[in-house]
Amino acid sequence: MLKTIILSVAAVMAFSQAVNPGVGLRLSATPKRASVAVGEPLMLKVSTRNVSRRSLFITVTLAEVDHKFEVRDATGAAVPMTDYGRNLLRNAQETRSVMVKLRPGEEHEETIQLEKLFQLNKPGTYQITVKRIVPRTQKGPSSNVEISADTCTVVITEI
Amino acid sequence: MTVPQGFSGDTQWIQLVDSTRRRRKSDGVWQRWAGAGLDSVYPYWGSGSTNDSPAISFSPSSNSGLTIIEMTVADSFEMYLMFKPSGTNSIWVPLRKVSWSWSAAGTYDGNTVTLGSSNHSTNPSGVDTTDHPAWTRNVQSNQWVNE
Repeated sequence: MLKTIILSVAAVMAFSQAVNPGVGLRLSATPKRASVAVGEPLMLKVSTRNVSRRSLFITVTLAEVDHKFEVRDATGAAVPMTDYGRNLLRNAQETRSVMVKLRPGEEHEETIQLEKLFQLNKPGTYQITVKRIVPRTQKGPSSNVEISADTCTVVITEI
Repeated sequence: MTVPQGFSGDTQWIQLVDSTRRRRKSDGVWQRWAGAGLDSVYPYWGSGSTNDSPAISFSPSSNSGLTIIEMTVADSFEMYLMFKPSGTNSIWVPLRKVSWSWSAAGTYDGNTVTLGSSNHSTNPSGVDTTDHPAWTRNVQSNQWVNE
């Protein structure tokens, strides 16, 4: 039995490493409030943490552009972006591009007002997945890799 | 940045930018993204030190299907170091500012990006200032428009 458990753990670790080889950064996304009323700000805290043993760098421009958001309603349908969100993605330029050093254990945190980017004007339960491109910590076929936060849930209620 | 002994408070950075960026699409049409204002977010950075490595990209961020074959950029910046003393009713005040700029032009032939002319400030120095940074718009509200 013990042998089986150890093998299972090893298999999970091998799988995790295969998914994101050479990545020392972990992304997390948490709504500041799990439930908001229609029209209220839906503030999403997004954090990039260095989980490696050496200092790593990330580039910070605009949080709304640095991250990719997938927002789905209770049926699994993708929630469309607002005009503001589409315009921002179409027109944003890198006038600000800050190189941020993250020491082991350090994190960079930003807050995104999600209802400005997506049409979250109907009551319901929404699933939000956040991704971002980060540099690999090791040489690989590509110098960058996409990391993903665990999907989080937010409930939008009637006013 | 280090706050001298006997003082305490918070620091932040604010950057203003006057930007003109132009791009030529594969159909030959030039577009312009231009205007002045706050550089992207307030504050630009929260504390300690900061930096900037502005860029232009031949790959439009949205899936617009655009192919860009030529770009130019001319950005001028003013970076302000702000300080707010500890205590109630304190306000942010400017301490120093640095003016700096960069410009560049490049082309893309479908495989290779070639840098044409380029220029940038060399070791720009900061000056004491009592001028507060002022803006009425965010530069990220600029739009790409046909010339």
